[in-house]
This record gives sequence, C-alpha cells and structure tokens, in this order.
Amino acid sequence: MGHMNAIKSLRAETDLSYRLRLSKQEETKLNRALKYFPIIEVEYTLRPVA
Amino acid sequence: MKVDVVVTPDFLYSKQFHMGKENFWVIVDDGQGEILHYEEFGISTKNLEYGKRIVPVELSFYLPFKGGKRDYVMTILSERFVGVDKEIEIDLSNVMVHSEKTEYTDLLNLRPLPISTLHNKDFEGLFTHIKYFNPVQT
Repeated sequence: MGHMNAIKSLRAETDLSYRLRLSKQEETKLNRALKYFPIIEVEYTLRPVA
Repeated sequence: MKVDVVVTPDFLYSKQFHMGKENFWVIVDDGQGEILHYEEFGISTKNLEYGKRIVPVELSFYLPFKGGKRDYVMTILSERFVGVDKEIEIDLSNVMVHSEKTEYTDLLNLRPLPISTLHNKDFEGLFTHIKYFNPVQT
C-alpha cells in the first residue's frame, strides 16, 4: 500500500511534536508536507456487459 | 465487464512539489501477472488549492471476463512520487456470466403417444399427416 496509510495516520495525529519529539517549527513544516503528499481515495463499480 | 473507477485526490497543491497535472497509472492484472488493462490519467492540481472544491477523476474501461473464481488486482500508482500506490482487489465472486455450453435435457425413454391421446377431434384434425407424436411432443 506504499506510504499512504502511514501518511494518513500521521495526518490524523493531533500532537506530532510530542509524538515525534519535534520543535513547533519542525512540526509546522511536517504538517505542511503531509498535506502535500498525494494521497488518493479509490472507489470502483463493476458492470457486466454482453 | 465494465469498470468505473472514481479517484478522489486528498492533498493540497504546492508549486514547490507538484506539477500542473499529477500523472498516475492504473494497471489491472489477473492476479497471475498477466496485464489486462493499463492507462495513464492526470489529476489537475489547479483544483487542489486550499479551500477549493475537490473534483474527482472518473475512469471507465472494459476488462475481459470468462467466469471462474479468480480475482483481478487493480494497482494505481503515481508517476512521480515513490510510495504513492494503491492495490485493490476486484471482487469477481458475485459476477455471473452465461455459460458457453448449450443446456439441454436428455430425452426420456417414452413410448410415442398416438394422436388420439389429445381426446379432442378438432386438435386431432391438425395432425392428420402423422399417427404418433415425436419424442419431444410426447
């Protein structure tokens, strides 16, 4: 699944600076980078055709 | 079999990291390595600025399917970003296809019935050229 799930859980983390021992400045940079990481959601439907 | 795919981007645009259009590949294989379909599509990043409405990308394509219980695997991956890939198993267990074999019923070993079994003179009049029904009619 690549890095997408890891990025998603980091995005959901509310206190990255505490969790990853980051300064506030580093946390801001990381948060910005996480928002830019190209995550995609995919849905599909199947339809049999003759 | 027609497959409709909706890809919804979940990220913000930054000209530092992204191109005007981020390209992705969709590859479908039969789970045993044979590629059944592949195509490239792009997500326009101009709609991904903060506060703008996200527009999903819709794709449609056809896959060959002849029955069986195999599942196909659809992989969507980015052309530029490492680790941006999504593997989805296409569940084919509920897809039914008509069998190519002709279905038939074996004839029963019956004695051909005479026309008189109709017990109706008008109906019997329709079959004056034969005395007995054929196996199917019987």
